[in-house]
Amino acid sequence: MTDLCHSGRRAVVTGAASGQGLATARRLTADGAIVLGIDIDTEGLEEGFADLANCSWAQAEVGSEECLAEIERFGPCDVLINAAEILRRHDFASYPLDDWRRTLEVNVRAPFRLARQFAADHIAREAPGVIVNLCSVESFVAAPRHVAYTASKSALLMLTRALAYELGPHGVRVVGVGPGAIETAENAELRNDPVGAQRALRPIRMGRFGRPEEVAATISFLASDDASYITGSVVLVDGGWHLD
Amino acid sequence: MRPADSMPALLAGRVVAVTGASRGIGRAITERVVAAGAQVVAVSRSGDVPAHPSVLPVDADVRSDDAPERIVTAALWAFGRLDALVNNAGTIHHANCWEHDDEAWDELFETNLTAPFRLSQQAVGYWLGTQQPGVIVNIASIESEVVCPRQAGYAATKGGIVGLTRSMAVELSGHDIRVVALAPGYIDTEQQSVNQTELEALIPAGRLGHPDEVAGAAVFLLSDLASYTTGTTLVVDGGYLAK
Repeated sequence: MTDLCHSGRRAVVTGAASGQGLATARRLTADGAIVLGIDIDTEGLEEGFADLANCSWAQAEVGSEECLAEIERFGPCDVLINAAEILRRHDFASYPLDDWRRTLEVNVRAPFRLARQFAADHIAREAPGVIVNLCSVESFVAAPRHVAYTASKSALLMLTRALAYELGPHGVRVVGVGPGAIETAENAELRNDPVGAQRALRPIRMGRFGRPEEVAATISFLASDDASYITGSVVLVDGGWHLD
Repeated sequence: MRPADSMPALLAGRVVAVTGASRGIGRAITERVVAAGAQVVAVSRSGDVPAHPSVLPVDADVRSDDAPERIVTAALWAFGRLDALVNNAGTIHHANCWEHDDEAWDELFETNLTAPFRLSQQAVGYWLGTQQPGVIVNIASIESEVVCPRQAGYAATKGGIVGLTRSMAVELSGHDIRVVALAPGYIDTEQQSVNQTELEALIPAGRLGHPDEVAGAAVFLLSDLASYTTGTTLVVDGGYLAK
C-alpha cells in the first residue's frame, strides 16, 4: 500500500454524492486515502460510498456549522477538497437575487469557511496540508446566463490565490482545478439535446465533454506530493475551451 | 472642482451615476466626468460630494434594498435619462485568512459584489426597457489578479467583480450595453493604510497613483472612444502587475 500517492492520508471531500466530487472521493480512495465525504444528498452518498473501504460520509449543508463540526469530528486531516458547487441559469436582467446570493454562499463562502478551519488547525499543529478548490474555466472566461456562477468562480480563483499566498509560509498548499464542460447529471439534459450539445461543444477543441474521472485524476495529482511545489495555480481541465 | 483643462467634452449630454462619490477615486471620477461634460448622480452615505450644478447628490447606502431603484429614479427625475453607471463604492478588511470573520466577509461581498450586481441589474433593466445603449464601469483592483497580504475576502470580491463584468458583457453586448472593469493599483487615498515608502519600492513607477489618474481612465471607458471595448479590465497601476 505504501506506493500509493495518498496512502494513509485523511481527506475531506465536499459535494461527494455525485459528479466530480464523488469521482474525486473514489479516486482518492483508490490512491490510498481515507475519505470523509460531505453532501446534502444522503441517497447519493449511501450509493456512491457503498463499496468504498475505510471511508465515511456525513449528510450536511456545505459550509454550515454542522458541516464544520462533522469535519472536526473526523479529526486531523491532510487534504481538503472543496468540490461542492451550484450553477443556476437565468438571464442577467431577471436573475433572482436569492439565486445570486445562494451561488456565492455555496461556491465561495463555504470553501472559505472550510479553508479557514483547515488552515487554523494546520497552523496550530504545524502540519503540512493541501486545499484544492473546484474553480472553473469560467474563472477566466464567461458563458451567457451564468452571471452568478461566473462571478463566484472568479471570486474563488482569487480566494485560492490569496489563501495560497498567506498559507505558503505555513506549509499549506492551496491549488485550484478548472473544469470545462464535464459530463454530470446536472447537464445531462443539455448533452442529450443535439442542438444544445453541439452549441456547448463548439468552443471545445477536443470536441467532447470531459469525464468526472478526468477532473478527479487532476485533483489527486494536485493533492499529492508529486505536486509539492505547486501552489496558487489553477490547472484547467477543459479540453482546450479556454483557447477559444 | 478641477478645471476642465485639456479634457475634451467626451461625455457631453450624458448622465452618469457614480457610487462612493464622496471620497478618493469616486470623488475624482465625479469631478472628471463633470469636467467631461456629463451630469452626475453622485451616490454616497455622507452626502459630502463635489458641489456643482451638474451634480445631484443622492444619500444612499448601496447595500440597502431600495438603493438601485432610488438611484435610477433620481437620474430620470433630475436629468431625464441615465447613460452610464460607475460601481465604485467598496470596502476593505484586513485579517489573516485563518482569522477572517464571517461578518467582515459578508459585508465585503454585499458592498463590493452584490451591490454592483443589483445596481447594474436596475440600470440594465431600464436600458433594455427603453432600448437605449448603456455603459457600466466596475471598479476592480490589482487584487483581481494578484494578492496583497491579509485581504483574502477583499481579493475574492475583486476577483468576482471581474467575472461579473465578463459575464454581463458577453450577455449584453448584443443590446449595445458595454460593461468594463477598471483596476487601480496603489492609489494615494485615505483608505491606503500601509507604509508609503515600502509601497513605492514595489511599484515600477516609483510612486502611488493619483485618484485623478484613475478618473481619466474611467472617462475614457465611459466615452465613445471605448465603443468597441467590453468585458475587459483596464489596469491603472504604475506597472505593478507587469513586474
